[in-house]
Amino acid sequence: MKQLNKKWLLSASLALLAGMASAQSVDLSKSQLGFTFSQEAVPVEGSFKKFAATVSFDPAKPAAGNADIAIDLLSVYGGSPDATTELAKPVWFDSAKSPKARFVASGFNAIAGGKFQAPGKLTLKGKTLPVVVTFTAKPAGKALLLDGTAVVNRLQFLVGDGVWKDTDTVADAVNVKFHLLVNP
Amino acid sequence: MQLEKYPLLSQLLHWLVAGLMLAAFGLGITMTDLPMSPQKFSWYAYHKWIGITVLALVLFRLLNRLFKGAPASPTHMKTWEKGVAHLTHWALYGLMFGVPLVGWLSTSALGFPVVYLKLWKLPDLVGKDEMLGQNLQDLHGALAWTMLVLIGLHILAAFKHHFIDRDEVLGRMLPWSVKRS
Repeated sequence: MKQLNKKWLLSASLALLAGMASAQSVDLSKSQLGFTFSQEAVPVEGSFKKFAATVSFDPAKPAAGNADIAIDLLSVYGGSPDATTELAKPVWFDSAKSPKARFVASGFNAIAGGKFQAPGKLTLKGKTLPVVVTFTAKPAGKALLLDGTAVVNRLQFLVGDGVWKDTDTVADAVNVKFHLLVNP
Repeated sequence: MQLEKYPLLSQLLHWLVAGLMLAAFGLGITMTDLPMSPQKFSWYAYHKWIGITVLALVLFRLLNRLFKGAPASPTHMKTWEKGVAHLTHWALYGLMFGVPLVGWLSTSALGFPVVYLKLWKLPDLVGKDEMLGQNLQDLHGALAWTMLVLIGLHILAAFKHHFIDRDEVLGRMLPWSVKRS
């Protein structure tokens, strides 16, 4: 009972903290997180069906922007049923052992062409490494549509280990793309 | 009686396509059973590149056949024999064209565009639809096996002409001359 209370208290205070940081809510039903990888030079589209995102962003004040995205690796779709099964294996995501990936970024900056950059850190398969996200922001009513991409070099995270290290078959660079609807 | 030979270009295309189809068939029946591996991906890629090559060559062969025709059948052949031979030849043309085309359709539907020789991305013939892709892949396999049976009959018929009828039907598809007594 005591244990349960503690847990409740913890989550309540976390929720409170999140509210205090004025994080905006991301409408996940209208948001997508996908990726394109290159297999024998063939572009293959995959996606993550489940992820949680907290984004705080005002295009007028990019430096104050921050994002925290938790990705459920078990919800991956690898472009085909075979690839989806394959990606859960230890040589790829090892999602039984590390079921989540997390991207945390803050201090965004405006770059040329009306775009923004979010320098962040991606934690994947036990490794935390810098990843830079480039995105555009468009108003959609009172909400904000963020569309962006990031290049993740899979081998840095040992995603596709062993025989899959051969980049002739599956290229190192994976293009991650997202479409987030951020409510005010 | 001396039978007119196929032109050298027709012979070259015949044997080239035969070799490529055999290679694609060998890859095709092996690669599907391979476990997920870089080798499997490579073999699929080679299989598709060979298939696209066959498709292009067969298009050329079809035009060649339609405009240039083929040497006449030997006079000793009965009408029904000629009929069966023509039917088999046109069925083979249809399958040489249809098998790679259905393969291309299936890979499009499965969401894997063909990037020929890793250089040129070919257009997708249909949008992504895994169910349709699976059905097309099954059809691709069934048509390939049908073609294999027809190729078997085609070879047997050529041997029958050569060893039983002792005519020049096989010889006219060979660049070197075969003396018949």
